[in-house]
Amino acid sequence: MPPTKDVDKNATDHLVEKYIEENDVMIFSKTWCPYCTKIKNALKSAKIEFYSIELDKMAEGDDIQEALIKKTEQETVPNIFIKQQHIGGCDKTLAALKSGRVAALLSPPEPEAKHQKLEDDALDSYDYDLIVIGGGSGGLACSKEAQSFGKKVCVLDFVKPTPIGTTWGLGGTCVNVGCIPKKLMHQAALIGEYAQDATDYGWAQLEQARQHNWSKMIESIQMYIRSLNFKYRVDLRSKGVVYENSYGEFVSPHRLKITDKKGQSKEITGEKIVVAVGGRPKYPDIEGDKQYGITSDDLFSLKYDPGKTIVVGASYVALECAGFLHGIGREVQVFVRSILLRGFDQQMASKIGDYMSAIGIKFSHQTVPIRLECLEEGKPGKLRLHYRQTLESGEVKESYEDCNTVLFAIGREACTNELHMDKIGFDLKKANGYKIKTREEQSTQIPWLYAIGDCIDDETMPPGQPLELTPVAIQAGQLLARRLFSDSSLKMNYYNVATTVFTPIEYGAIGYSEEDALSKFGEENIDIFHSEFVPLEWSICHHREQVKNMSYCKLIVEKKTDRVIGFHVLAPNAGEITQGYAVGMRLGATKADFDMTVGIHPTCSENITTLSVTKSSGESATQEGC
Amino acid sequence: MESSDKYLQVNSYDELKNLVKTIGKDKRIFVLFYGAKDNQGHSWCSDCNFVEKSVVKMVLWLLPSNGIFIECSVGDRASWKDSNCSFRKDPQLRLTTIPTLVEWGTSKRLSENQLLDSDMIQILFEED
Repeated sequence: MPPTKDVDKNATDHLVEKYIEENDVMIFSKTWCPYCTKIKNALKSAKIEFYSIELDKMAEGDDIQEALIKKTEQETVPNIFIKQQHIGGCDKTLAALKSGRVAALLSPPEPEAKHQKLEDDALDSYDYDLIVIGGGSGGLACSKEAQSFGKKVCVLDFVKPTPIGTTWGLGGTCVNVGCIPKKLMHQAALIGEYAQDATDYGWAQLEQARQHNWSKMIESIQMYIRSLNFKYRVDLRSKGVVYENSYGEFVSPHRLKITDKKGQSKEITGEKIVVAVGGRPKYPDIEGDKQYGITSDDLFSLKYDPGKTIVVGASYVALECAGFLHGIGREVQVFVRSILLRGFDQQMASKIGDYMSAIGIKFSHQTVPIRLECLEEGKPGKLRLHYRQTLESGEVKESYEDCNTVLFAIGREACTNELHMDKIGFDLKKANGYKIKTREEQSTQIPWLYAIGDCIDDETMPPGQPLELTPVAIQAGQLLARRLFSDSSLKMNYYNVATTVFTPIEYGAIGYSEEDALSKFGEENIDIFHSEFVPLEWSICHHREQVKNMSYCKLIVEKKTDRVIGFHVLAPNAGEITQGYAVGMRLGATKADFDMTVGIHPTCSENITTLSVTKSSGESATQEGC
Repeated sequence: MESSDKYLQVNSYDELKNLVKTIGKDKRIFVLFYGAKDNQGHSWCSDCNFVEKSVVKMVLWLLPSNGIFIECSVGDRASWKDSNCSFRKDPQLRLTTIPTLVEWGTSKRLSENQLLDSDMIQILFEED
């Protein structure tokens, strides 16, 4: 509406201001101007109300035009303001209409969001029904399951090279730099042990067995890994799952920008997205760590013999690697910051430590690395690891140890940072290893985003228990795909998941650790049955004399129900032993069930069916006879 | 297609093994196994006839500069079906079906229907 008139020059400025203020869409126009007509028609079609004045028909028209030039530096009409913002002429306003800027300016202001409030940018159609970010154990299982329901699926997999340039093919951590090569190297070490057993069994001295060729082992293992990479590629292709060797970054909730090795990018959209990016080893953030140190990512394809190795860390990765490196004849020292195997049953962890020390692996406790120096380049070179150690007296000493290789195994972090999840409103915390918080594999922050595997922290997981396991990721991925694309409602159960640590003496576990059982149930409500035993096969081996009594098993039983809530075994082949018992625990087996199960003789496993001594009784747990 | 120093034909297990011995370690060797052809160039193996043209075309197109392509006949039907067939018994090769395309010295192989999928063949040729 036209405001009241004023006469002097300042008054014209005021007049212009009033027009702009009092009208949401203000057009300064001229009757004969075709562009003015054009933009008015466009706004009418968009059902946007506007107010216009025709400067050629007004006495103060020229003055107003001058005032506009002064204000906007625009000499022409139409001169358009929306919500007091200067837009420009016809073209600029048409562009603003098209881009949605006009609508945004005219819509009511967004209420202050408490947390990130992101709208699902639902599209009419998507490139894929499902995009899985990460081609590891979880990602591949999920994508193939989804495809089995006829869905259009895309898997993204990309390996960012390690600081020293190591990279690998499709299949994720397990296949390339985890479970598979680890178990094979563990086996290489065991063969060395069997070779030492051999003379007691009547074989002629196997001298060759004392020499181990690192390169030959790497060659065999890598050939096998490559065959798996190929198998997975062919498998995805034959199932019609699209594979992109590119890394993805979120642009918006359903849109990813994907970039390949050559740096070429494109965008893809998915109705559902599952993040399965897994994790990578952490570095300690000390001088020289990335330059001269390696991690498990590098170890399994290391092209040269690692020689004398310092393993920094006391995770299962650290102890498994230290174990097999020692087993194949390399000198190994383990630098432990505080405790062994955090998150695992600590009695079992300390027994593992005792065993490894007994077979000749050096442990340096309360030790923290402070600087890694290279004394001599080479393959391997000579390194000097400076460290700080707190002695039992409380005294802190600083010293160094020379070696050929330093392996950092201090923990892993989820690879979620590079996904740019901040763009879709995520805030991932370093304290939580950058993991995505989920409930039943659905993000608790963004409901249309799902995640599985090592990169998640799920509310339904037992607290404090490390569950970064291939079979967990696989099953969670399959069940999730079924819930998303069929009418299944089966949920992943993260409880009573059987695990095994493949240290030189293996450790298998299901259910509660002793600490967790005590804190959850209370000492008076549980019984702990246990026994030491000697693996029969070791009893005649001289070189095993020191360690043959170190096998051990315990069952934690809830008194009220007699249910076995914790299973722990430290013995050769613990992995194979433990698996079968997991079925029993799933069915709620009681101690009486275990006792009524007739053992297989002679095995290590049978000891678990004949436990009678409890910790509380104070009786000796050493096994007699047979 | 005519033979060249990158595209060779052999007709027996011994010929294949001897040929491979002469090829440098820096080369990638791809071998297509098929049933022996008659005078008209037809194999007794119908699957082999079906895929051969497209496979050979694809392989020659994808062959890298350090690549060698060998077409290897496994012999007549009787020799192939015999469980003592050298191609079947060779510990590295353990050939069980034809037509099969392998990258020699690796466990990468594609057989039968897979050979009709050009994307699969591309996967075989990818560098590790």
